[in-house]
Amino acid sequence: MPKKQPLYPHVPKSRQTRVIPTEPRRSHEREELEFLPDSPEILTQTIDATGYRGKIDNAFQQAIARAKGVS
Amino acid sequence: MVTAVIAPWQKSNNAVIRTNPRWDRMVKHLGYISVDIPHRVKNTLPVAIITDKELVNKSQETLRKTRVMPAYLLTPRAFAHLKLARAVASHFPGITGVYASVIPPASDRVRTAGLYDRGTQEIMLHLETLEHARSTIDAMVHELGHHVANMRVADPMQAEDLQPAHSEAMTYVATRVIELATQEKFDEYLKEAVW
Repeated sequence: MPKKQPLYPHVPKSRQTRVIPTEPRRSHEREELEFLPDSPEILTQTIDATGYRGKIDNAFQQAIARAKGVS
Repeated sequence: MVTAVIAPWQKSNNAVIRTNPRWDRMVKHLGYISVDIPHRVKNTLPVAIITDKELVNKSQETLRKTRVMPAYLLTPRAFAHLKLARAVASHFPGITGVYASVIPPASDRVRTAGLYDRGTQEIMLHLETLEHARSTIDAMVHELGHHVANMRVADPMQAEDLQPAHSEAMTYVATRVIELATQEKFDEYLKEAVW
């Protein structure tokens, strides 16, 4: 890893322009969610939204019938 | 003055103060709506109404109280469906566990049927969800959608609910699960299943 070089090596550090931020810096708090919870209603709605509701029902109802020896 | 500002949404008591649009989807998910308020009342109003960030933080803290239920405490039906859920998860790399759990409501407005823990990559299924194979599969497709999206995207936010990456991942998971069910991969777990 090469050593960091100053951007303006010819200007002494004491004379370099300092920028004061006009807005407070954002804190480094993590804004990620650890848990993604889902209500029964959301689960149903999102499955319906995929358009696979009928296919899922059909595939598993057939598989259950097969597993129980009904079909 | 303040009354005039809050009047449009005062009729509903499910409003929280928007501090960051980043929380809008989660706030909606928790049964609330985010509202903007003028800066001049922003410092006094939170005394009466919580902010989006407070709602989300409170929800996350509550969900931390999720308790895993050991197999011997499950009904035979719930246990059969848990085994089915684990069989489904085994086809999606990276999932570290699927557990029957008592999950607290995510807010005072919504119950929690399923949960994906992004840190541990575990899926929690509420006991009620496990009472039927249909709700179990619905929850697995949804939670695996979070997991797959989480693995695919660089920004974790994109794996959250109502995001295109999550919808696409759910479609992929649903297609794969149907394919596997058709190939009789789950038949041995469906003998005691109740759709």
